[in-house]
Amino acid sequence: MNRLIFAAAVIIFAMLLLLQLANIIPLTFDEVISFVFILYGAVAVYRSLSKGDRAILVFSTSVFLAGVILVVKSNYEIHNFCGLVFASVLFISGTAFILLFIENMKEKAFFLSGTVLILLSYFTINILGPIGFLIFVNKACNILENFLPIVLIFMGISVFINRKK
Amino acid sequence: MENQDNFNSSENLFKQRDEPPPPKHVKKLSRSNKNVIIAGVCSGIAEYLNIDPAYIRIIGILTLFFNSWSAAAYLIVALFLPVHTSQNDFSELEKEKIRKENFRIILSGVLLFTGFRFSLEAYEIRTAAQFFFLSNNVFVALIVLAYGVYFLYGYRKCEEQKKMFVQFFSRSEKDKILLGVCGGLANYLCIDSSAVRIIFILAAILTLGLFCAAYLILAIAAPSAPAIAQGEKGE
Repeated sequence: MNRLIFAAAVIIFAMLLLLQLANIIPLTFDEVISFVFILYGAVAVYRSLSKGDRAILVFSTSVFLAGVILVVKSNYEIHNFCGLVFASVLFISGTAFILLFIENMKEKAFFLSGTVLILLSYFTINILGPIGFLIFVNKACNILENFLPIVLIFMGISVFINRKK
Repeated sequence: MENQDNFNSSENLFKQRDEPPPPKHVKKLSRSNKNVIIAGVCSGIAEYLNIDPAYIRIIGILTLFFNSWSAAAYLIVALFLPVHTSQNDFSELEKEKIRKENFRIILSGVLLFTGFRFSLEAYEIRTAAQFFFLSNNVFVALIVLAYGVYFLYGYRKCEEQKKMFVQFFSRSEKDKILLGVCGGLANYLCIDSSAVRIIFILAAILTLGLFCAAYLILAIAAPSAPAIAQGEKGE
């Protein structure tokens, strides 16, 4: 079923892309991706919640919210993109933990960590943001941008080396 | 007596000559039916060349730098190459091992691809529009459509993997580096722990360490695996 949802999402993406290239639908490439993300995320979250497939639940929640953020980004002019990424990572991971709690109400740890992450994302934008925290985030992000490829390549190599463990 | 022996041996020699030569085992390039991620092309090539499929897969992922041509080539090869029919099948344990290894290969491939992509962009060697996922043309759309149809077709054939989920979330004692949170979460979600660790590290980097709060909360709130086992025994 997961494969079916994924295949349907890929086909819808390709069809929308073709329609967009033929100027039949007035959408940008980012909007097409975001709509497919939202569609896939919503269906996969619903399906995985009923089936109890936790990994897909976390993945599809993240995909759904990434789609929502992409819609916001493509429709509104956002100057501080690093700040958006910063808050989005906190919010998406917090929501994923909350959904894990909804799937299994006995696990209070997920509820706690999810709530803390969502509150952190709110506070960084609304309370720490006006003080100048987002300017600091932007500066740090510029420095991180130079090191992130190295970190990713290093992680990739280490996973590849340890693939048989 | 010796002459007779020689005669017998020469007779045997002639007999051997009369018999047709044994058929040579010719290796044929085919898709693998045992070690498959999408269509078994990389694994088939690796079996043909007698090397580890991981190398072919990593090269395959990195060829996505040449826009969608490599993806198209893969699909064409998958359509025209026959599937290898072997009698011996893997056991469930071996299949699980292969699945885990393949997941790590894909993960490392994605990380390497993303890392190289960012570094190339940083040095302005290639623009983002030239990359596979962002090259906005009809050819890419058609390739994506073909892959969608292929996945849909493959859905009918494949059996869904039945996962046995654990009931409680606990810190792992076996699979731990710091406090066993990532290992426990991977066990709870039924995925590879390396993926959870990478997500946690990247999230911590992107949020300047704030994400560590979630790690600490999970470490404090979740019991360790032996504690749960003792609790179950007590009940």
